[in-house]
Amino acid sequence: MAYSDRELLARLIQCEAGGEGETGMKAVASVVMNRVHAKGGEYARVGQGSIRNIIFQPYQFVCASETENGAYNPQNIYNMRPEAIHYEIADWAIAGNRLPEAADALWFYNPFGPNCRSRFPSDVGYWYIRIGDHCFYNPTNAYYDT
Amino acid sequence: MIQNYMEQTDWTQEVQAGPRSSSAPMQPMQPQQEMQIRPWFPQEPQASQPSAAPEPAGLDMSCPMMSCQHSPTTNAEAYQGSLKSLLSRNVGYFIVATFLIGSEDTVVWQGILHTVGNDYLVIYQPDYNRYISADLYSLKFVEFHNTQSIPYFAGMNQWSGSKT
Repeated sequence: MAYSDRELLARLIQCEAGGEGETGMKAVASVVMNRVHAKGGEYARVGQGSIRNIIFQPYQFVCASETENGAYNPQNIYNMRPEAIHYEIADWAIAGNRLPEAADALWFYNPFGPNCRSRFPSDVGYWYIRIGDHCFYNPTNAYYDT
Repeated sequence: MIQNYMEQTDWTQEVQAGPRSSSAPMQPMQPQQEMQIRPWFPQEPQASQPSAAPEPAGLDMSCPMMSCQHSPTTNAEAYQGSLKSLLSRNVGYFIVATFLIGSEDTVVWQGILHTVGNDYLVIYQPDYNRYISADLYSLKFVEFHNTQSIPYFAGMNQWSGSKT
């Protein structure tokens, strides 16, 4: 059975940031919804305002794919068991709320170390803040040319 | 409450059982393929060649045989070739439906296709435990995502996490 947007978002939140606590999960939810409502650039063009399109855009969220680098990725949204907190955060984000620290963020990643890259994924994003294990990046002007 | 999705609505069966017009043109047909429901492409020979897209194991996007290959001659054939009939055949699946509001704006409703009426359709949203009725004539696009799984059944409290 296909998942609804709310279900997809709740599972993605749990998969990507389940161990980051409520703030970390809200930050990830904010990134996803920022992409959904992007005013321009790649995410506006590819997503077209659809949560499903954003989550399943290829090579964006590892959790949305069952394979990674050719091998099976067990940490994916289909293996998740979302709980009330994940649905609450999904509803919170869909309703338009954003974590203030991640109000403009379009990218995040886990550096698995103490230092965040200054740019991610490339010149289109500059490092803004670190929340838990995730570094968050806001769009530069170059992003809107993608 | 949700009824059994496997039941056809009565008036649909009435239409299908209606008498065919005696002036309906005969179509060349291979007897062994009589019960096969496949999309018919004029360029391909009628022999059992695999169609370009794999036939989904649940959704019924094809046209009932002999009903969509020519201009309809009966009301039954005309109905089988309609959007209403296509939706009726796929009740029970999760859909994302886009409606046109006014001349430019669109609104999207997603959920399980529950009922198709004469000029309305009903969508059930398990996440919010509500039914939404919508104007069938404003419907522009419908996305069917679970192309390989079974429809939603009333007995399920939550779907079991299948891929599609």
